[in-house]
Amino acid sequence: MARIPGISFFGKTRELMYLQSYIRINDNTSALVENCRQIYECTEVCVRLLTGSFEIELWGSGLMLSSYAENSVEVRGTIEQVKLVSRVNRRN
Amino acid sequence: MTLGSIDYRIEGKSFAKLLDAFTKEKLIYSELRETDDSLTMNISFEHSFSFERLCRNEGFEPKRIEYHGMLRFYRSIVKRPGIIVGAVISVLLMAYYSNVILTIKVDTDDPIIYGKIIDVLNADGVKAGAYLPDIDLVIEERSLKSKIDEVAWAGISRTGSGIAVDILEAVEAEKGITVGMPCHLVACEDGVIEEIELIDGQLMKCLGSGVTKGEIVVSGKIVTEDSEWTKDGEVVTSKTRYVRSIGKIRGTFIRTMVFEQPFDAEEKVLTGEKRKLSYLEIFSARIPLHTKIYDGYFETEKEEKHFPEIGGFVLPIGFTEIDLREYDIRSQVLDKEEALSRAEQAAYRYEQNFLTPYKIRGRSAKPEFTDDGVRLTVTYELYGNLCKESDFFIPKYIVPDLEAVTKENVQDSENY
Repeated sequence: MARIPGISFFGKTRELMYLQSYIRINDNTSALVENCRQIYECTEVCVRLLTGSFEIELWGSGLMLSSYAENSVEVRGTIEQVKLVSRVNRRN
Repeated sequence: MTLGSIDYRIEGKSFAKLLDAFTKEKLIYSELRETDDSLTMNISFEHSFSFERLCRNEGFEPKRIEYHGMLRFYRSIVKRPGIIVGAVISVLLMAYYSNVILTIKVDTDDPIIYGKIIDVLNADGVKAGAYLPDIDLVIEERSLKSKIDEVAWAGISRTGSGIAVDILEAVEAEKGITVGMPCHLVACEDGVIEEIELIDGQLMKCLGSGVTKGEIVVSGKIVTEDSEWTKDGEVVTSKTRYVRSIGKIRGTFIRTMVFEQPFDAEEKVLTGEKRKLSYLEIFSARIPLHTKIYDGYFETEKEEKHFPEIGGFVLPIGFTEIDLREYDIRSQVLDKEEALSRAEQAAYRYEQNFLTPYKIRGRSAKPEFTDDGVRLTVTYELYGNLCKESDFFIPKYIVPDLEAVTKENVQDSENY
C-alpha cells in the first residue's frame, strides 16, 4: 500500500513548493492539468499525461489538447472518465 | 495571438518524441489532436517559426493547413493589391486634405462683400487647395480689414478642413437728421421756371423767369422787416427766420450731349468652336479633370453641376461641366451709316438710362463726320425739376448758447 503523501516529509515539501499535480475539471467539457511533465498520448478518445506523482488518463470523445503556459495543459472535449495511476504503483 | 494562428498537420507514426520536445521547449499550442497517422494542432503566428524548426529537428515536416484571425485577413489583402493601394491613397488624401483649405465660409448675406472678401483672400493665396499651415490667419484678418472698407472687423478661424470668416460690416453712421434743417432750393440746370409748388421758404424768382445753375430759387432764410415811425424817425425792425425750403420748381432747360463713334471698331465674333471643361468638386475645392488648357478667348455658354442627392441633402462632392464657346475680337471698319447708327443707339441708351425723370419736349441731333468717326451732338429740350435742396449753415450767434444755459443749473464743484 502506498504511503500517504500528505504526512510524509517529501509529500509536505512537494505541497509547499507547489510541485503537486493540480487538476481542475469544469463539468465534462474541460480539464486543466498543472505541473504536467510529459504528454504520452493525445487521441480523440484518450489523453495520457505524466505529472510528478501520477499518470493521468482522461477518456472521452473529441478530446484535444492545448498548452498556453509552461507545464500546463488543458484538455477540451467531452470527458467521460479520469483515471489517476500512481507512478509508484505503475512501477510496481 | 495578435497576428492570428496557423493550423498544422504533421504526418508520421509515433509522436511521443515530438510531444516530449514540445513540453521541453515549452511550446504554446492549442487544439492538439492525434490520429493514427497524423498530428494536428494550432500554433500562433509568433511561435510558428520556432515550431517548424523544432519539428524539423525531430524529423517531421509540418504542413500549414489553414490560417486564422488577422493572418488570414492579411493573406487575403496581399492577394488584392487594389485594396492596399486604395488604403494608401486614402491615407495620403486624408493627410493632404486635413491640411488644405476645402471650404471657405463667409458670415455675410451681402453678395458684394462676399465677393470682395473672396477676391482679397484669393489675392493673398488663401483659396481652395491652399496649404493651411503656411497661412497666417492674423495677417489675413488685417488684410481684410484694411482692404475692404465695408468690413469693420474680421476674424478667421479654422473649421476642420476649411476656414470660416466672421465679419462685422461697417455701418455708415447717420449724417444726422436733416429733416427740418434749413435749406435753400438751388437751381441745378440753366432754364426757365414754368411751374412752382411752394410749401415753405421764400421764393426768390417768379414764374417765367430764367435761372442759372447754382442760383437760389427758394431761400430758407426769411427776413421780415417792420417799419415804424416814431418821433425820432423811421425805425426798421428786421427779423430773420430760417426754414427748410419745401417745394417743387419745374421748368424747361436745354441739355446737350455728344456721342462719338469711331469708324475703327472692335467686335466680338464667335468662331463656332466649342470646348468642354470638367471639374471634380469637393466642398469648395475645384479639381480640374481636363489636362489641356486651350488658347484663345472663350465665354461660358452653359455650366452644369452634377451633385448627388440623398434624401434631399445635396452631397458636397460632384462634377461640374462647363461648356465654352470660342470667340475672337476682330477689328471692323464701319461705314458712315453704320457708325451713325451706333451713335444713335448710344444716344437712345442714354435717354433710357438718364432722362426718364424728365419729359423730352424737343430733340435735335446734328451728326458731324470726321476722318476718324462720327460725332453726334444731340440737344434735348427737357421739362422737369429744376432745383435741388442745398443745406446751409446758420450763423453761430443766432443759435442759443445752450452750454451756458446748462451750466447755470449745475453746481460747480470747484467753487467749494
